[in-house]
Amino acid sequence: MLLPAFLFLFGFLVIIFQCLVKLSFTYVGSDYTEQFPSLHNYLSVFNAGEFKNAFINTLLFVIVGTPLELVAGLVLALVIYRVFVLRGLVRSIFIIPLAIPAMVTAIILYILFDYPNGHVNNLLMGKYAIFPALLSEPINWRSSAVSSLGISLVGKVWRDMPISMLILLAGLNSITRDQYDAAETMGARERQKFMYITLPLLLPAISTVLVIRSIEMWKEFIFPYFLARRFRLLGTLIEELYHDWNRGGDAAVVALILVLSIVACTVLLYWALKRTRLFLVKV
Amino acid sequence: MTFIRRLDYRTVAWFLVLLLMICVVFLPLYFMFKYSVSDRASIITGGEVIPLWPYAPTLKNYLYILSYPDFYRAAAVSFKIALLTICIAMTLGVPAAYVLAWYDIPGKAVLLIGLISIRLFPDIVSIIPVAVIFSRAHLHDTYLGGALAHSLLALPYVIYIAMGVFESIPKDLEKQAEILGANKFYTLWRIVLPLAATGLAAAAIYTFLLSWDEFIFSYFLLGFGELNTLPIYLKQKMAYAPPQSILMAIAMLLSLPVIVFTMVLQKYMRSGLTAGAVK
Amino acid sequence: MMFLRIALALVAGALVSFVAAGCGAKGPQQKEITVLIHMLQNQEKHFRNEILNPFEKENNCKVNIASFDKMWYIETALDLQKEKKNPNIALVKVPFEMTRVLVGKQLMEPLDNIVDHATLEQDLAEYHPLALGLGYINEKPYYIPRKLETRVMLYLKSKVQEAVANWKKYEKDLNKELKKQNGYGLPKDYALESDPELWDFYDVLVAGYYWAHTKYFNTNVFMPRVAHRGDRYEGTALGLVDQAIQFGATSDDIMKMNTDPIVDMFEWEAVYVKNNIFNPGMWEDPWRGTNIYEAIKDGKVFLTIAQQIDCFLIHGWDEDPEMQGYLKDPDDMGIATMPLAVSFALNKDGTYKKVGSKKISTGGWWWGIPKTSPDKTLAYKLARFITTHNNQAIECAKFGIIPVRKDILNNISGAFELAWVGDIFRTSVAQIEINQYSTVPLVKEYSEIGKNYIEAWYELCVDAYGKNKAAPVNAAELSQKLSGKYADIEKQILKDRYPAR
Repeated sequence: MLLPAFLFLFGFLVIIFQCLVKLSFTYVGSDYTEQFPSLHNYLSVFNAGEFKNAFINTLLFVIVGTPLELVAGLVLALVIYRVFVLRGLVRSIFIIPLAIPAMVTAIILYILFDYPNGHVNNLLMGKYAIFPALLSEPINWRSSAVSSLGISLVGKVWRDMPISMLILLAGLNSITRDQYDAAETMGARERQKFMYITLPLLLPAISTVLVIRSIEMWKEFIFPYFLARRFRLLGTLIEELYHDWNRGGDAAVVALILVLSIVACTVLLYWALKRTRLFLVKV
Repeated sequence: MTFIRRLDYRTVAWFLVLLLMICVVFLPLYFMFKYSVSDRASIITGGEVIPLWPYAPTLKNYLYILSYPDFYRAAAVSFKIALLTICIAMTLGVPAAYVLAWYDIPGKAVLLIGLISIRLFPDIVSIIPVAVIFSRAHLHDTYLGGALAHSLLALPYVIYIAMGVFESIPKDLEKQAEILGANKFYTLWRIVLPLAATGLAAAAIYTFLLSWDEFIFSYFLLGFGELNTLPIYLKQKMAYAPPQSILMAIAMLLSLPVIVFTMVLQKYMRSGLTAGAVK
Repeated sequence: MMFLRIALALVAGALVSFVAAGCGAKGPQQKEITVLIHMLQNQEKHFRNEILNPFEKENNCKVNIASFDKMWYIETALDLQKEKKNPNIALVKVPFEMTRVLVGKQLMEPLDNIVDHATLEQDLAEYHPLALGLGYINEKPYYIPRKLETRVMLYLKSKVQEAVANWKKYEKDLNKELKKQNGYGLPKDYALESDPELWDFYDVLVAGYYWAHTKYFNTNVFMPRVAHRGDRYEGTALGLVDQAIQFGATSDDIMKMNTDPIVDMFEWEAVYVKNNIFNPGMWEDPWRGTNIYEAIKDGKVFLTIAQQIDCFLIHGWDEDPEMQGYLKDPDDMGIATMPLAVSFALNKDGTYKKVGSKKISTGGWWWGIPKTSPDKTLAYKLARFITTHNNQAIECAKFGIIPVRKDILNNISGAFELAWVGDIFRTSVAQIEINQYSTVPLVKEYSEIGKNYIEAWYELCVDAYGKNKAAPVNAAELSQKLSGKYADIEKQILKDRYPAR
């Protein structure tokens, strides 16, 4: 019963990986002759400053973005965790971002954060009656790396909140009421309850969120593609090399580095989470 | 009196956060809706402040899109492919997850890691080899091809989610069934699956969402033939810089069925959802 | 429980029906082919109804349309066709930039393999030699012309009037500022022409200077309003190469990248950046075509360089909700041929050191028949059918496309369905006549060369003068950097084809 699914997945995994490696070592010359193997693509990627910048940007994007995804998901999950009348409805509402195509969300953010005539600038400058003026000059959101990548991050987190929420919610539900009751009889405070019960028991769910979300963060492409064109991530760099310059070989090199980074990052994350778990258990 | 007493600071804080998060979710949706009913003058202001609500709200953007068959055709294709993807991904994924969850398999950890690896590759890079294989296998420009490609993307998550669902079902059940003389298949079919249904619904929803929004794979496998999915349709419209009103109206039409679909299925989700991913 | 059973029943049902559908005999049928195109929405509608439908009837066949999004997808699509047992794409609409690549990768069938020599010669004689010539590669005819394309200057009439009326207020400032940079100030007896058709690069500078000193709508922001494409893609490279051609650059100059015309071009770009003539969104956002439309919509750009298709999209067709255009008042859009290139450097007496021309490169679209085409003769027939006198004349009148047929191009009728379409058409044809046979270098490495130009533009113009406004633009230094760094990169790209002289 296991076989069909695994043959399907592993078959394609091997094919994709082999194709990627081959592409990265194939240099297509100006007369369309192919050289294999050749390190030309690797050299051209490493010599270009854009790769280094993209890598650093991506790294920062992952480091800031992954915890943010966790926090957003945790807030939603904790809000929903409480029993109340319209809980089912609210949960459905919280899932809605997942239903909007990412491309559309990115375009909406593009419109909102336009300079100088976007809704956000107009709002902050008091152009709408509902809000007081906070700024005297509009902000050029897309001109700086911090704000443009920051807005991409907001979009990404907004769209993916529901996934994190659902995973964490499942984790929260696996903690039973009596564990808290026991703690309360022992006179535990709120903070202690959170530290010694909720957190350790929620850790598996948190690990899943961190691992899955960090993978997606590394790969992120659609939001920075619309919102931070000038400050590339590895995902957007691959797209640019592939689509704007038709340099499949270079794109393959960047993609391989991306895959390796993801693997390294995931291993590191697993290790860190294992240490945390040990630490929490000890406490 | 009791009601007021219960309104302690924590409840108030909780309620405020709840309201805030609902606003955060709805804000982009509001703008999506606003632009979809905007008239020309509310979008093209030449530099003057763009209003928060259109001067003359209109439904003509929707009417325009719905007056051409392209949209329905694309919606039908998308829907069929999404359903077929659910079928394929579940048929392949659920048994695999069942085995992984209930039986000890040598090298399970490696298998699990290998499982998710296919998602490490950026789509734009992995599509070319996949497209070549599909073309050779005569699967291009067919519903089945599109669905198989989407299954490839959805399968790892389906297995992860389903595994968690099965793990939350007590294993004694199977033993008891065996004692009563049921064979393995019967046990799975009549006893385990009904119990797992709610959790598996979550996997189905996830698969549906993924297939409904997927662009790159659809484009290279279907985009050069007659079968266009909704994201391909949207992308084609975008190639020539349509006005924001038309774009957002399409986006609304694209999102609404999904929102309805999730609302309908959400009662199946309950806590079983993604318990799998936790394990 | 119910849900799951239903789902499983669905699986079975769906699989059975798909297998059945797959095996079901399709029966005797007409020939079915696909054309791969990239067209404006309303042009595609016209193409479907007025061209493909009659063709289907005439030839008892079915023609499907598939669209490509990015031009590189043509290559991918055709590569995939090779893997298919029953390839469907019979005819492809190919942009100029891709014509060489597709032939180089052996994806295209030469036309003389499809029809006999005499017929081909007779057929091809109907096309304008320029369009036809570009369809020849290695002296073999590969492409049937579809339409020509070039760039023109697009401006807002009201804003130009405003600038013409008010620029004198800034004459003193300008003279003072420019004296530091070119040693003289504005050219001798300078006046801003009221008709942009007569503008040169200094006029763009003066109008741009005035606009940059007007406030953006109810804010305190001063914003430059001139722009061209600035993102790292082929559109930006084309703009730079065009400007070099205006200074007299030949293909060899463009490939060498360190001769005078190239330096002149980069010097002006740097001057525009330094003097705040270009809207920084160009490189900050950075802008492609659609971003410039949006910028025009928001009043951030009053003057830009545009392809025909940009003009149509910016103006919009009133009756088509999908093409509402980007101007509050569409009649405000003005079109002129490219501004005349004059050197930034002036002689001691204030006259121009060098005067270039309005001449830029011509590009366009061609019909090509892939090697994998399921029916090459039918595809050829279709390409010819699209460009019959009648069909092309109607497309010109309706959509203002620049024709490729001699009998239409040499005898432009005054009849256009809409007056503004006529404006775009006449200006574009005038520009084509100025361009004559000039094109971008017809080498396979052109895309790499373009990338190098963009890198140079970013380093030498944007990064050097975008923030730091103090130092004047130094042409000698520019020239040195071009020779020292970028010409070397060109050498690496072109190897032994790097022009010797």
